[in-house]
Amino acid sequence: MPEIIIKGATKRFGSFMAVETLDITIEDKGFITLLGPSGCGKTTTLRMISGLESPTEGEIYIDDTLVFSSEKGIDLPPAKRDVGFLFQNYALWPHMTVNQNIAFGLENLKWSNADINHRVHELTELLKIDEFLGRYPAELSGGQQQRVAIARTLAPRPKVLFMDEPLSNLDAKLRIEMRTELKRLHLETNSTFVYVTHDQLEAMTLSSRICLMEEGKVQQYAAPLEIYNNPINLFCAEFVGNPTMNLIDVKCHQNDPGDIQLVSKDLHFKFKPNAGMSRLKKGADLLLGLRPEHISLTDNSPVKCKVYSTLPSGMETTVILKIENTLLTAVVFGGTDFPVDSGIGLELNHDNYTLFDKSSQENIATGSLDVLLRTAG
Amino acid sequence: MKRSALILFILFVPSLVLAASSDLINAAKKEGNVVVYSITSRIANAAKSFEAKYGITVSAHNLKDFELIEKVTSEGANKVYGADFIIAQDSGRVFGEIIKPGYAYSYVPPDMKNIIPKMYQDPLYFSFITKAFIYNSETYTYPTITNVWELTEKKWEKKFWFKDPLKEGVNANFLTMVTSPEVSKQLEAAYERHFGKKITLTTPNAGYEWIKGIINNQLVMFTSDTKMANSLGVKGQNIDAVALGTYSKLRYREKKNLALMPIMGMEPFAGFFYPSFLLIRDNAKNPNAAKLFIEYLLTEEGFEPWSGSLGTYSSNPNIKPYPGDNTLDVWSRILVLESPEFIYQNRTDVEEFWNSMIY
Amino acid sequence: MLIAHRTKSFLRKPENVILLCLLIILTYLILLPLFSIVGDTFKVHSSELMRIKGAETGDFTSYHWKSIFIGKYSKNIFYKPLVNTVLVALATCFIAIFLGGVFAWLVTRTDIQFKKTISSLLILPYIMPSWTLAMAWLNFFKNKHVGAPGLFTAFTGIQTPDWFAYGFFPITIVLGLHYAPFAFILIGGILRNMDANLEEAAQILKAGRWRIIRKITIPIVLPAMLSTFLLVFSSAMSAFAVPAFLGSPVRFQVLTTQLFRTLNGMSPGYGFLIALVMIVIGALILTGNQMLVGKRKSFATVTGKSSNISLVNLKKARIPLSIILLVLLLLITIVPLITFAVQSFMVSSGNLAAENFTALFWVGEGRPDVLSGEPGILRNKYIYIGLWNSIRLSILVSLLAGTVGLLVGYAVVKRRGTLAANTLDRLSFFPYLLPSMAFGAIYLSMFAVRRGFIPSLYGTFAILVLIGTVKYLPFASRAGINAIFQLGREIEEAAMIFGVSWWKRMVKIIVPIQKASVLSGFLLPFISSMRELSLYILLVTPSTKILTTMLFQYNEKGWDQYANAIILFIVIVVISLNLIVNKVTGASIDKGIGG
Repeated sequence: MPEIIIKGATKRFGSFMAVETLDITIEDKGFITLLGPSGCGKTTTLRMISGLESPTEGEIYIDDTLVFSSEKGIDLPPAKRDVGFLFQNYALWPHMTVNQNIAFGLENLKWSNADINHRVHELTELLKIDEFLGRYPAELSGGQQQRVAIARTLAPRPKVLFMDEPLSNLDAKLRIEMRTELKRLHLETNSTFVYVTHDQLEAMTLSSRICLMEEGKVQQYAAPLEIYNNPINLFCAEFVGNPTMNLIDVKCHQNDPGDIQLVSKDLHFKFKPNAGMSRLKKGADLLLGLRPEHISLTDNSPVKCKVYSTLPSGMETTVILKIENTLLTAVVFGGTDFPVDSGIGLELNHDNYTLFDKSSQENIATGSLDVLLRTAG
Repeated sequence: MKRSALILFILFVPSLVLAASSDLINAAKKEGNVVVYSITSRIANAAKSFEAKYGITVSAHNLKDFELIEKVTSEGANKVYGADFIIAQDSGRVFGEIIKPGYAYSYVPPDMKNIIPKMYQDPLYFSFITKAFIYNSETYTYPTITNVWELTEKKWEKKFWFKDPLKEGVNANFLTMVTSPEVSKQLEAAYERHFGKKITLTTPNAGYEWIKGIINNQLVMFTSDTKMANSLGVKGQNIDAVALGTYSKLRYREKKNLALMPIMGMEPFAGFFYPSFLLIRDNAKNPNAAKLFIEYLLTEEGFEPWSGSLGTYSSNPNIKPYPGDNTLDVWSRILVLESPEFIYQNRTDVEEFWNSMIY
Repeated sequence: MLIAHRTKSFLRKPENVILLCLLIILTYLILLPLFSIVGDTFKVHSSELMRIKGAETGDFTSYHWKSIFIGKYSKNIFYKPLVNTVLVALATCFIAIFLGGVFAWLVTRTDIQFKKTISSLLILPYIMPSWTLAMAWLNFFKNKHVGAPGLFTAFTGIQTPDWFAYGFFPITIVLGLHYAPFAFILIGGILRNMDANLEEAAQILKAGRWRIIRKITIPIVLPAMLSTFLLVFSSAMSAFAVPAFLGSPVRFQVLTTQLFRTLNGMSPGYGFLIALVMIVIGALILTGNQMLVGKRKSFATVTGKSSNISLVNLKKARIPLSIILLVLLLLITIVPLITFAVQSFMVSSGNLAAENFTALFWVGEGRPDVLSGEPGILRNKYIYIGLWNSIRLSILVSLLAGTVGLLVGYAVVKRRGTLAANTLDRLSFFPYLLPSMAFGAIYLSMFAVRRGFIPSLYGTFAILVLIGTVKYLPFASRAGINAIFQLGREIEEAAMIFGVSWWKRMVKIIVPIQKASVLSGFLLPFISSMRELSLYILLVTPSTKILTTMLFQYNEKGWDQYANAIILFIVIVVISLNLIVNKVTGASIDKGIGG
């Protein structure tokens, strides 16, 4: 079944390296997201797989078929790759009605009129756009256009569906609604989805796996929660999660087995790694990463701090804390409005705080923390 | 000996007769410049020698005849100053549209009153220009055609060239004259001589019949006589056409290496000729300079650009034609001359007839 | 009281004052002359006295209307040229749109090579006067029919047939090539702006290359193509020099050549009436275009970022096709210029012998036995006068048209949507559709006599400046509207808050920011005026003659060497100016073209 294998795919536009030696395998029926900031090469990757763009080097297999190989000079056109593509701007043909737009692909496949009609109705009912069949795209709202585009893409029952930021032109409410529907569609159509977005929340909520990219290179290719909990490097840690991870500059003060001490300008920690710690060196400059929801607030903790600002959203509350000159973001469940400048205690009672090497930015250890109260003045 | 005497005579006579009064010269010099519209481009050469002689700047503009009339009538009607004097042709229109409304008048230099024949003084004639049937003398060693009716025969299909009569009034005048009683009678006789039978008319007269004949025989029209002469006289191309065009273009024979000869024996006419006129504009800014230039143009010296080659003849009988050229007298016996009165009455009819046939 | 207050507050805004002034002035310069020309079709003119027997100049007559429409000769005077005009314009549109469209598609949608060179070479035929190609055609293909053969015959010995050398065929080819860049720019612009995803979506859905072009690309660019069609149609209809050069040897007449003949000949009444007919056709085309442009807007869809277009891989055809296109373009752009240079040194055309070459026509003193005493080009004061007149005229026209165009843009954009703004917008575009020569005829009729406080302008330089300004206002006002529109109102409003005066806002803020757009509003009138013939030909007098009218005269007289040299002059001035402005400011002619 359609498994997509990309081997060493590289794309250069002149001297600009858009994608650099990309190696990923997309499993059958997966919902894969290509995630990254704009200009990271995610759209280019999608276009290379779909055949809209030819890689400069490398090989691409779809469903065991070699569709591209720079060495063997193979470059199947998109039409022969049996894929669907949903464009960011929908690319609906302005001179055709909704019906004509959806039917176009089926006509290309030489379906009979009855079959085309049946399929069009099936899809428009599924997507709740059956009342607009006779309209032109310009007469539809953004959300309706989006559904037409999806219907058009799904009509020929592609095995693989590519989507290039399909929700970015919708308003916030509609976006959440469409997210739900896309996830259902993935199950109902039983096909492989490859999805491009720069919205980490979209990626987290939708995908079975995320391919996180930066500057043309894959940073991490893993399940969303794996990336969230175990980011391979600083970039991944910061890109995923909202509010973003707290980062504190620390120095490894002591590195004895069983007694690892980290010191920042305001705080002193004892770090207990979950597994081996061979990569830690005494005197190294490190970054300590704490997810906001892993900072608990309690009145009876000995570690005291001040409430700098508080942002309640109803369901949860983001609290900015201040210890000496260090600001930390914490998230607590429920809508509590903490008085600004009031004192409060802080507890670090989780076991997945992450240490990054400051120079290589790589994740070097995960573990639990104890805050040592200021010993030396 | 005889020849040098002639040259002496030519040199001597003008200096005798040219005695432009010093008052006129002074007044002209005070004006300092003069503008002329002219139908002949060789005015540029005359202007140069005039400038050299009197130090008066000349702006000489060469226009086509209808353009010149158009400009002068517009400028006249709107009291706009354009030129001080004009050299115009197309007599019917010059009389009716320029002289009659008073846009221009004749000035005969006092010294010329006794030299230029009275009939050429009102309006003042400048020159006569001849247009004749011409052939390529390399292709044919002698004229292969002697009767204008031959031009209506298959042999000459697409091989008769003529300047578009709507692009030059005098050509339309010629066609009009062809339909006049005298010329059409001659054409009738020539028809009989050539075909050996009487002409059967489908049009008002033999003149119209001939015009119809040449048009139906795919007459080729040119936009200029220069172009026509250049094209006709090319050597080595076996050009086998006959053209009716300005005879003076034969002067290009030497310098442009063209093979051109006239057909003097063509029946019943070998071409046509027409006058050009010297007229001072009613609102001239430099009337004295204009008078001086006019006087100059009527002298041997001033006429040199034209008399220095064949085909143009001064109204001043003392100026002899270019050596070897026919005299005007000879020409007037074989060419059709335009009659302003007949043209004024009939030219539009002929033009309409032409229009209905040609396109 | 209330009205006075309202008027005062209305007039306090500069855009209202501009709008009002321009509406009045343009009505006077564009609409009123139309009435004047109608009057002229019922009048007896001085040169018609011979024709309309017994009438006096200025009398009322229906003679012209009768003879043109139902007269004995109206078929030849009017209907046949009308049919020829329509056929020529249609064929020209077809060729221009086909060539321009194919080139536009190749350049924007495929991986063809030399794109930059092709694009800039392709603009040349439009920048050069249209008769450049007509003269080049004659230089190459003229045949024995009119005597001295062209270069083609000189080299190959093959006589070109009449249909190939003259008349309908070469006229449409030459005009088609001349307007192809126009179609290239308009269609190319649409293709470039058209979302490539629209085609890619079809590609993914397994539509073949041809089906995509047929079903997606063409329908989407169709409104632009129709718009191009109408604009090219009206331009081709008003072309004069090309049919005059290529049509006359085989007596092929179109409306413009008839117009010129009749106006300059003995029946100006016919001429004014023909001009009126052409103006009516032009107005109909404007209406059609407005309707189409209106429809095109509804084609705008929600578009996000348009991703980089993937180009069609031409594969093996790429190199040969690129080279063929390049050679073809060189053939119609550079080669003609070379032939002009060569011909200006040849005594008689078609003769390649060494003794046939001379510099006489450039530096000769002018001897009666060679060229009727006309001095060589470089020694000829009249050519210098013509050159100076041409440049002076074009500079004035460009300054005036450019400035007024900017003001039109300002007023129209500021008062967008109001009736007055729409009227001004349309009014300023109207001269585009008035056939040049008909427009010249209008001004001849309107300004030949004193009108109110305006003295008779006939024979003055001012009338040339006036007509040039009005005729090229459409280019300038398009550029002006674009410039102001793109700027958005906030930038100017920010300055208004600080109390910056209107004059300063224009000079210090608006013009500097939009200088490329603004400059193209100046450049296009200059170039167009430099190469204009039919607009000015009825209005020049010997003292105001310009290069193009001199060229036309030289050409008619058969002094080809002079004509060839002058055309070189014009082309060099126009191209080098375009290059300089383009290099210095980034403004270019293609920004201003279009409607």
